[in-house]
Amino acid sequence: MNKKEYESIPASAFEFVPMEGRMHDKKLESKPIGYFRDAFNRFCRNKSSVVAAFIIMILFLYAILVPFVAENKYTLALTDPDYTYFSKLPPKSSALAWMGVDGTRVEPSVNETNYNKYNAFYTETGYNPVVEQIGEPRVDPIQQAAYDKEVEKLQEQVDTAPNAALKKQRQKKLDKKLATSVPRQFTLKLDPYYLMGDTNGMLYIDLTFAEYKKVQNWQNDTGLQVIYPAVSQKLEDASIWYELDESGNPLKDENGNIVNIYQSAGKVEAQDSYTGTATATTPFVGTATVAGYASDVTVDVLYDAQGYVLNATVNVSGETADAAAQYAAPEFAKKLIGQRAPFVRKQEGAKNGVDVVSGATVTGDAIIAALNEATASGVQSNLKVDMTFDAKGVVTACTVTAVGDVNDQAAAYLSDEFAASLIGRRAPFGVSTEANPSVDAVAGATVTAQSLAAAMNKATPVYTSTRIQADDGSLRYHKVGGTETSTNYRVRICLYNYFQYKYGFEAEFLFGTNTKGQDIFTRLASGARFSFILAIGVSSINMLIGAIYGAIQGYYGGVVDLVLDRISDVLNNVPFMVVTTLFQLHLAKHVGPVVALIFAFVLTGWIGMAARVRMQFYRFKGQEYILAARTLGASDFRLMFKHIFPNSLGTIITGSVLVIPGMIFSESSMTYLGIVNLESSTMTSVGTMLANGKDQLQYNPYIILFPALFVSMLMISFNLFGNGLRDAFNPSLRGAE
Amino acid sequence: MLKYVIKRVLLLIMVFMIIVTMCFTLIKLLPSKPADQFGKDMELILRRRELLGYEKPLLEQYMIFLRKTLFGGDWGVGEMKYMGREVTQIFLEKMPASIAVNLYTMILAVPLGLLLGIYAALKKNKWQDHLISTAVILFVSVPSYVYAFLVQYFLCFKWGWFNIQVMAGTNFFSWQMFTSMMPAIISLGFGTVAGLTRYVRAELTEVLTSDFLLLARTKGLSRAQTTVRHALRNAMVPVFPMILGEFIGILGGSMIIEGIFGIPGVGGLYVECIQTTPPDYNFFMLLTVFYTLIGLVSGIVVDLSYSFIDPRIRMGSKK
Repeated sequence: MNKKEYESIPASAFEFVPMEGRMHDKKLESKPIGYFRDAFNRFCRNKSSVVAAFIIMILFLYAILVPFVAENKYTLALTDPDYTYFSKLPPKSSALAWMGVDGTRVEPSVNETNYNKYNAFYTETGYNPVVEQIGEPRVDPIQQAAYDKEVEKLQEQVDTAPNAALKKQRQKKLDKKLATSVPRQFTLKLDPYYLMGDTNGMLYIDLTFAEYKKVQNWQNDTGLQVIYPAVSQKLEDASIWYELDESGNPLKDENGNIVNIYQSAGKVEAQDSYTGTATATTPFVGTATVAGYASDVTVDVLYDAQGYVLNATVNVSGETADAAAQYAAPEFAKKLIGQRAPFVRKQEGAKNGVDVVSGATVTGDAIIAALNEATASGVQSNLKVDMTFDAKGVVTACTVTAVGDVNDQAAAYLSDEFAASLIGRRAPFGVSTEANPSVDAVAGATVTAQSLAAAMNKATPVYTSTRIQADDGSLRYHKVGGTETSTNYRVRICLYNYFQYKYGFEAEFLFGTNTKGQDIFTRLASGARFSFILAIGVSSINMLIGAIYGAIQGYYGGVVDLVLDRISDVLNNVPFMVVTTLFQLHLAKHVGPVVALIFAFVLTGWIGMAARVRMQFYRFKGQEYILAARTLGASDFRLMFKHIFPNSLGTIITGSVLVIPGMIFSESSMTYLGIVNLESSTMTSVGTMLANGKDQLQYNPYIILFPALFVSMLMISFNLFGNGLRDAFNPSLRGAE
Repeated sequence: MLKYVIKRVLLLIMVFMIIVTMCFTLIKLLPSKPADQFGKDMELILRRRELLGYEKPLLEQYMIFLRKTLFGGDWGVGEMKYMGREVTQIFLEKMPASIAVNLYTMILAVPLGLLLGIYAALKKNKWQDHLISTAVILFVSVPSYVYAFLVQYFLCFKWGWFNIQVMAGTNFFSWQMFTSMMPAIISLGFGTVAGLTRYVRAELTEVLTSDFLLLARTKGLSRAQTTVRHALRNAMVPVFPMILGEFIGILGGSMIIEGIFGIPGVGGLYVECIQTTPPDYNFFMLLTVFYTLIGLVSGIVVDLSYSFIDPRIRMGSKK
């Protein structure tokens, strides 16, 4: 082709490029992967981090859901004084019993006294606290040696006795020694749920009449016995209900059964000779002589069928101890008139303090106690209650009638229902005397509304015992105490069943209970909640402050950077402990310890974040796209937060997760040391739980185990999770721990 | 270099003075226990307080504090704890125990951490490495007091190898004292060993994959020679300052471990003086200053030590 041809090409020589089948930018067949999606994919490939994330999720759910799922009457009764009875119970779960979470504990050395108590507890309640006896009982060799030596010495004395009389005396001494034995030691696998800590399962508690009644109704409904018979001796230890022998072991009868010392409810022994119903006006024929035990004071009492003393005289036979002398006065005898004496049947083998109506002993104490039980006087109610009752004082028939104007208070009692409700109950009514005319007479006398209520409160329902086979209604289940206006009933309860009565479920704690009796499972959840709230709350505040601060520092640089850097430098170098302490001292009074702690965390916590963001800003602010944006007139704010900031988002997120374990550690340390005290009935922290449990490490390590396990798992998981996040957001850092 | 050091020291003093002033003001704003509640010690407390200018205005008190306390060394007497005894004296009595325990820990933990780290790096991505790395992440994460409980429960209670508490006395470098401190040393050691292992492993793997090591190998050096002479020395550059920093940090003691094992140390003293109401401000002030100083000094020593260990690193030069 020559030049000419170029210059004049006809239009027809041209043709349009065929548009069909031309290369165009094709639409992408796969979706573009976003920054976060990409990071997420990478994160998912890191198995340990995914597992860690799941663990965190589980722990989080545990913290959040427990209040809705696992709260019950027990955990909600936050300031219940009864909590201490249920302290130090090991973890127990009927579902996990095969794993050994059966709430038992191996006690390496149990002395014989306690061993006997456990066995007696089993006999009485049917709950066996001894799961297993490990090995044979042991005898302390030192004690055994001392015992042998003493026996040997006594034997020698017998052998060397100069005359027969002395020999006999010494032989007696030796026999007595031989009858005792060296206490043994046992290794037992125990179930502390039956024993309930240090109480050995039984406890004296005071109930109001309404509560007393409620417990009894509950017993009748469920067939579980809470209240066990009162014992006749003044024993602090409620778990002893049996006679003791010389060496402190339970006395056995010829059949090998334990001899009980249950107190008899029978006020009167007259039932033996008395038959048929009687009214109070029928005097009891026959006089019982009451011989004083040890005090040499004898009291001759004349009383009626209900056991009310009609006349009493006090005689002194022999030497009177000083303590007994006060009862020898005629005034004392006069005081007894009109009272019903809570005399107790004498028991075989009973040694002291047991009162018997006829031909037996009354102690001064028992009479005083009887005086205390005297019925109060009240306002005249003009109600008349006629009753018939049997020899034991149980009402068999009853009518209530009005004898004049009845006041509002008393009117409530003027009904057949009330009369019927008295039937079957034992009424310890007082009798009217000349000295005290307003006291209620049993029959044919007026009863005041007040005294009737008091009488009702005192009326003992005929008790149906489910456990005590021998009980035919003759055992006594309470001791009345308190004042005239508020009577309380001291009863001996089995704590295991009392727990069921009170909280509606059988005692079983998955994580056990701590020294205060709080359920560790729910308590730990509350501590966990606090840890999470603190971790998430503080790290987001830190993120916010750190991001803004770091952005300003990094973006402006120069003098601004220098000044801001100095400020963060100063804050960074104040020891964290000191910051926390000062905040607690200054702020805790005004805003509470929690807010003060959060302030302390925030004060220094954002510095790391600011440093990270600052570094990112230094990296990106010189790049071309920033220059381009600036040339187009973007404001500083826009440049900072629209263009640079998103680039450092990955670093920020990673950073704020990676500081969480450290924060949880600091929080638990501060609360552990007691520098920060967050303990209240509704709130706790893991550190406080650890601190409270540390004294129990040797014997009840589970108290510490669960909080420690929780905090360890949380920190491991957060570390793994954070590392995974960092690798996901910034793959180039992978492997550099 | 010298200029940089001077600059750093001056900065340190500035930061230190600001922190001390802040803490001083904040502490002085809190109410002290009235002197007339001290009973027979009233005279003494009153006299000492007068000497330190308690009744004077805050600014004047601050001047007295600077002159007499910070530079004069008179930190007052114990008011709530260690009644009437010199604060500095008690503090110095408590120091050796803290130092001893932590020194023993470092002496045992540092070589162990180094060895494990080196081993893991050499066996990178083999099962030994995975085992050590897994153990490390566990041990780094679990708080030291959890180890303390484990050690106390198993070694002291269950198996009865050690006493529960550190024995009394001040003979800190005797064998008996060492064995009685063993539970505390072990508890403290776990974290230190794990942290060091992780750090050494990371540094060493990085160096081991670098080009100059390949060069050394191609020149004919054995694997052992390259590792010991070239890789290790380079890897130690960041590791050594870290160890140095920890050595300074041991002065401060560790509050929780000291509490658990009954070590009469500085950390325990801090907790003790905080827990009275009101806290013993004299002890509090001294310990605040002490901890601040430790933090600052260890920071500066770590920074400066880089250039001593590796002359190629020039401090203060503009990047």
